[in-house]
Amino acid sequence: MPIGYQTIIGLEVHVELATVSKMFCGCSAEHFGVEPNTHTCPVCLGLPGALPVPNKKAIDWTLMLAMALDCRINQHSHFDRKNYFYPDLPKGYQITQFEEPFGYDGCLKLTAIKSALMSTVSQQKVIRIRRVHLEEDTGKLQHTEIGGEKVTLVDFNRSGVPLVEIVTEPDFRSLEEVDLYLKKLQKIIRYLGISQADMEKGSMRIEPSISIRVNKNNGQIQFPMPNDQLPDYRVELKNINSFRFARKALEYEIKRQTDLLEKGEKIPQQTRGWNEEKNVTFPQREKEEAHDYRYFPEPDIPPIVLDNEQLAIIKKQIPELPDQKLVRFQRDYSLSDYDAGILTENQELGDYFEEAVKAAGEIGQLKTGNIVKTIANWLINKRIETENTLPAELIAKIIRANTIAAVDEGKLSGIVKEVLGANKQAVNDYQKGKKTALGFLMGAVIKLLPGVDKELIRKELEKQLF
Amino acid sequence: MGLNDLTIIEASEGLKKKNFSARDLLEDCYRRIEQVDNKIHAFLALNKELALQQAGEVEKILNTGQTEKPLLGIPVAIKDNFNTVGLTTTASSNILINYQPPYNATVVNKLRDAGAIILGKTNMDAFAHGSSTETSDFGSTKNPWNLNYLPGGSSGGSAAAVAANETIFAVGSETAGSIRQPAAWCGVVGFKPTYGRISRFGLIAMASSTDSPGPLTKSVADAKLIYKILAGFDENDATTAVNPVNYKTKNIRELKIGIPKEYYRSETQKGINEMVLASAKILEKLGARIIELSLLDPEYAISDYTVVQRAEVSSNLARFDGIRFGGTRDNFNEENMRRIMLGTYTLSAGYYDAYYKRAQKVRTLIVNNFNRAWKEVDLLLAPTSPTVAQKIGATKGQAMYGEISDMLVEPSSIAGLPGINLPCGFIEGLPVGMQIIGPQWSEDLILYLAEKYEDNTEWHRRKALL
Amino acid sequence: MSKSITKLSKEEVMHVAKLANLPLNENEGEKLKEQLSATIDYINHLAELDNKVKSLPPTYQVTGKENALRDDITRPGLTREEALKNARRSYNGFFVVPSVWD
Repeated sequence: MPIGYQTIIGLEVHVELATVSKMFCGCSAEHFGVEPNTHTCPVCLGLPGALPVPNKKAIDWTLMLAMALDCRINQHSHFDRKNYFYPDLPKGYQITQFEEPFGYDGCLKLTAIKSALMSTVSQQKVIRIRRVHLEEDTGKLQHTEIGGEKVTLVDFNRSGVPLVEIVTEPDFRSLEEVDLYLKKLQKIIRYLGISQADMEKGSMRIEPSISIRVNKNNGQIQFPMPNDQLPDYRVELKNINSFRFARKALEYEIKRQTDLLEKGEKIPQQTRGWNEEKNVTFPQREKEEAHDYRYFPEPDIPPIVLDNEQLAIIKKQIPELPDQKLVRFQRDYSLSDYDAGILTENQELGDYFEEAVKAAGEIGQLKTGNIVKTIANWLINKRIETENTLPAELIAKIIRANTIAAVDEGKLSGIVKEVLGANKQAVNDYQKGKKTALGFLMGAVIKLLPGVDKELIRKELEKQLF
Repeated sequence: MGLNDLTIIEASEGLKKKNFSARDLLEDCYRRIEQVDNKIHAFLALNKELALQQAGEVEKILNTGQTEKPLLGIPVAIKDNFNTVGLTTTASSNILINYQPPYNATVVNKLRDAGAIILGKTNMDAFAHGSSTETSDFGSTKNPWNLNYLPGGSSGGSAAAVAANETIFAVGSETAGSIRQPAAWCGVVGFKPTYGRISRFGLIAMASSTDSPGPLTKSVADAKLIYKILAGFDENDATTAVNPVNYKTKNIRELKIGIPKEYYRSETQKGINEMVLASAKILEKLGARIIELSLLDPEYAISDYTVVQRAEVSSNLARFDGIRFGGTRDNFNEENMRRIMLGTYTLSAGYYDAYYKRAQKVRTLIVNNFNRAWKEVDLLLAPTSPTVAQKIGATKGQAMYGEISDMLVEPSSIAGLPGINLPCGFIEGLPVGMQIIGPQWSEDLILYLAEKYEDNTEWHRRKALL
Repeated sequence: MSKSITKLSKEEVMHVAKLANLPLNENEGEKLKEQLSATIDYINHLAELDNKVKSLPPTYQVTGKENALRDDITRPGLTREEALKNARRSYNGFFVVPSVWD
């Protein structure tokens, strides 16, 4: 990037909530891999006379997320209609939130993990969250040809599925920050248990906005100040369905925009799509050109009013979040920043770790140094199948291995030599071909070295008997 | 006189006493329809075959002595904006010609559960955009009292069907006057309950914040019966009231009836104000106190209602895009297009505050104004319409005809208040209607007073000679 | 009452028609222009009440209801046949429209 040029990025993330039913009707919210138009009803199909009734759980979960992102909560909130025409929008309007989103003015702190540090990442960065609101998803379009005619096919299974939209201020200044934010946001959402937030399956979608600011006077990268002068345009990117493509698309855009700006050209405000085959962004011409959405409050849905008690109940439902867990792991288990980070990568691993530590405590008799550190080590460095191994079983394995490690080779070979010396008859039998003699000899060694790995004993015996 | 001339209560008794069969009752209605409907054109779709089949089933039930269902065997005519499975539902628009809905409106389900038999669907202004039934895409309905005159609208078909004794009772909908006004022009009882009292689920939406289903009947007792069957919370409609407070009926001697002088206008057709005031005298003789008071000029409600209604209409009709059902948008008639355009305009960028938001503030003013009145009086009495039925063609070409002539019902509609129309006289053979308006949830009080009036007058006994 | 005469331009009318997804030809646009202008004149009367409504909150919901929510459970909906029954065009279980991509 040339000196004096700065990347300005804002992110809009949509997350499909994993509710059982849709946002405004009782249809199943499952749509991935489902036969087209089999999860519909008059409401989500937009038939005449149908009326929306909001899903309480979707609202609770949205509030939980808003709180987890340190947002202020609108205790008086409502839904609005966003009016526009498109074949995947059955009512000709989307029920969303415009004026009173459930959450606003929140933030997400980014912390770079030391070993992943790259030169352009700051140690700590606060990304401001402008709003967190709830809306319904549209149907899905597919483009194909029927008898030579180009057509678009519409499936309304996804129409009406609840979506939470999280919008940031244009606070990102590097792709590493974008990456950290997305990964952390995804982690929080998964910890809350409100969505799988899977980009490949479409339950998490990102729409970055990117522009380049030209700071003619200085080339220093700065933290954004609230009254920063932003460029007079921005480019929105759509159709990005993985973190990898997000990075590629943004890299491409940074180069494209920088090149244009260096030539002295003006960059038009537009929406561009990402073409993953050609690895380029391209301008999208959407039929809804006039972006006058004529928002007005949804008359079919009374407002949502939350008192402090109700908010407190929802807040209680929030489990320990990744940041809190990280801090606690470092404090309670004396783990390093890095180790704690890995163990809190997902909720399941962190929980497993703690259960293993508890199990170790119950078994008690471990003389092998810092059991906590050992457990952490195993989970981080070895491939433990945590779904198939109970924490107690893991402890048993560790005990065995540690006890095994406590035996040094010299001691083992010495004891085996002793046993062989004291059991000449068995040695003879073995050398004559009687395999059961080995078992007898093994038993003798085990008596003297209880808990030692039988394989090691067998190997040493075989070595000495040879 | 045929069985079709009976009221619900009379027909119900007759069926239970086995004076006649359900089939007899139904056939008399169809005979009457065959006799006069080619002149009146109240009906769009008829349900004869299925209805007769249902009559047979009713017979079986009656024979076993199971007479609990309050509407068992009673024929009903349903306005064509209520979804009915098995019968086309067109809202009298070309866009929905031949539309077969896959679900029933809640109102329809409640009627069927109560044992009613659907005679057919009645004509209306297309999408309820009118006060005369002239803007039906399938030809206008005529007033049974004089075929050169209009029945009013938008529930003109339902009102005419009741007035002509083609049915025992009918169901209509009111956004601002569409039940009360055609009831007035056709000399029948038309009851619009409080907004939120009867479910709108399955009613093709016009203005979501004021639409109210309601009965059109030959007597107040009939209206009360239907109202009680249809009222109640519906989980499919988030705006239905859960447990609203019901007003305890007072004795008529304790009642204070308000005469709002702004509703007795000099422009009103000569004779109407006098008849309504004469009715007030009757109520006074029965013991009620008549009190003159001043309310906000209903003229303001015209602009207010027009803005709110057309804005909501423009959004509610967006789903008619010809993809999942119905025809393309060029099938809207002129009045539909005018209303969609005005609504879109008032919601568009730069105009929202000046129109929609301002109108919703005026709405608050109107609501507050009524609340002040309820401190002084229990109910209000006023003419329903400033004219009797208009001649065919009289309303054509006037850009806001419907909304201007509905001035006297619009304030209570926009405030969501309940109101009933009762016949109170005739001018040159055409009925005059008066309305009783009450506070939210005061239906019991309104019906009580209405019944007192009806018991002491003979207007409801006059039949259209056709 | 003072009346201001609204004069919508044809461009404004056609723009509104586009927002409203209404196919209007030139003639229809011309006709609607007059009618809409007249209606806008009328509704501008609302401005006369500005002093009275300045400090009032807007009423979007007359029932006074709040928190009308439903539990997160599924209910049977439409079969695919019912969903597609009224479509002008369907294909292999999908609704069909002319391609939205050029």
